[in-house]
Amino acid sequence: MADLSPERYELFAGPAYRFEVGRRDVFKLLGGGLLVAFVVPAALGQESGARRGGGEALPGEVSAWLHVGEDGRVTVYTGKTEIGQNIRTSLAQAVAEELRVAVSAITMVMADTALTPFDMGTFGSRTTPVMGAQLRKVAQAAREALVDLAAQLWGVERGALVVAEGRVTHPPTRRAAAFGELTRGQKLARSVGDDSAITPPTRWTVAGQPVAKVNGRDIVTGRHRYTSDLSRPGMIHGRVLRPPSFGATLKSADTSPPSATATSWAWPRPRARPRRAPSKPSLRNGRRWPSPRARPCSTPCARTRKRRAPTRGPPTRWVPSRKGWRRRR
Amino acid sequence: MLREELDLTGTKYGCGEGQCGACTVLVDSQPKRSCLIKVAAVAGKSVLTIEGLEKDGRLHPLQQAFLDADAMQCGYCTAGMILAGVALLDRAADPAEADIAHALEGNLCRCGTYPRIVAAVRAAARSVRSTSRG
Repeated sequence: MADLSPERYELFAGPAYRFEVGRRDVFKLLGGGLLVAFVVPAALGQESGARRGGGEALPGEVSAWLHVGEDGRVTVYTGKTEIGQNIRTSLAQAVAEELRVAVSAITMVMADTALTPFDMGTFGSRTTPVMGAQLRKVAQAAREALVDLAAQLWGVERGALVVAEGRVTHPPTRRAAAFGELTRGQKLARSVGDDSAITPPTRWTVAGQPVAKVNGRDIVTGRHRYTSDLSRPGMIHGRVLRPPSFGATLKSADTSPPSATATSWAWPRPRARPRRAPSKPSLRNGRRWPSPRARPCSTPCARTRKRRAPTRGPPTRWVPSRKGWRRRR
Repeated sequence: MLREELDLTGTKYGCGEGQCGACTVLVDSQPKRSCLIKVAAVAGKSVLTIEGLEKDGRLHPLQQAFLDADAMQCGYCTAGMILAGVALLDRAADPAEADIAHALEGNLCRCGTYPRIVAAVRAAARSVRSTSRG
């Protein structure tokens, strides 16, 4: 159970882990190509830029990254999640605009904690101004890196290069290369901060235009997997375990089946407490509820069926936090 | 059964008590709440889930209409909406707005995309009529 980490409650505390994946590990994970990471400004200040410029370790607090694979495929990794606000599409549009590729050439990997940087939350509409701008900067840096690669490859001035439709071209010599041709055999990592300029909204051509939902077809065919549709190898049951107090850490969880003969891992529901009859008149003008069955209830089903208690998780033991977050008395 | 044993996760688990319609499947072409049905109850009957609606890589007209009308935000209710809509289109070639609203009233959409869903069902009805005529 040592690899279970407790859910984080302190919204404004620092990340529970830092992204210190080595550059080599990242390329092992994603394959070669070009990687551009966005470093949150606070981390830039704290670390006085010592890790800037793509050293062996990636910068400490990365909020998003973009990978152009050796096949030219563009994949964007962000901790923001799609909850119907359509950011899978709108963030892809922002990247498409800066990187000069088609929206359909971009894959968004969102809030898959095994792959994406840490993120405190999606916060509804905040994603667009915050993550949208960050991804623009990342995509722009990636575009510049691709221009650098082309300039090196062809030995030409980078100012004469044009990026459009997923290709870098050199009009004077009519040379052209798709992104994949430039990233092949490369393991180039760059990072970008908050200080770079992005295309002003008045010059946007891709963002702000209506486009079809990028994963619409997966939704209408039932192929899209929501969180509750996910399954891990060997998974029988998945649930979030919540500690009894802030900062408590999980000591153990008994994940063995409830009994030797059990065929299911459904832990028994706690027995519903018998309802007490109201001791005082609970209706105005002194009337009592005619019968317990007719009383209004919290869920629409309760009148017709027995009230259902929430299912219970596996028996757990927790170690309370020493620092505190004690309940006030 | 559908989601865990057969891995057909297109059918969504919403409320688990037949209130939301996210789990709608067609049992012998009738929309049913799969969360309330035991496997034994559908023995020998046909069960159509959202995964079975696409034929040879071609979307059902209503699936296409949902895409064209952008009739979903998060898309969690979409599978149930489409199947309830398919059942409606099977029995009514030209449903009025009120008929559509009535047929889909047991399917909830918390994003509030109802106007576009109704528009999508009407568009699909039109497209079915034009192909059957032509």
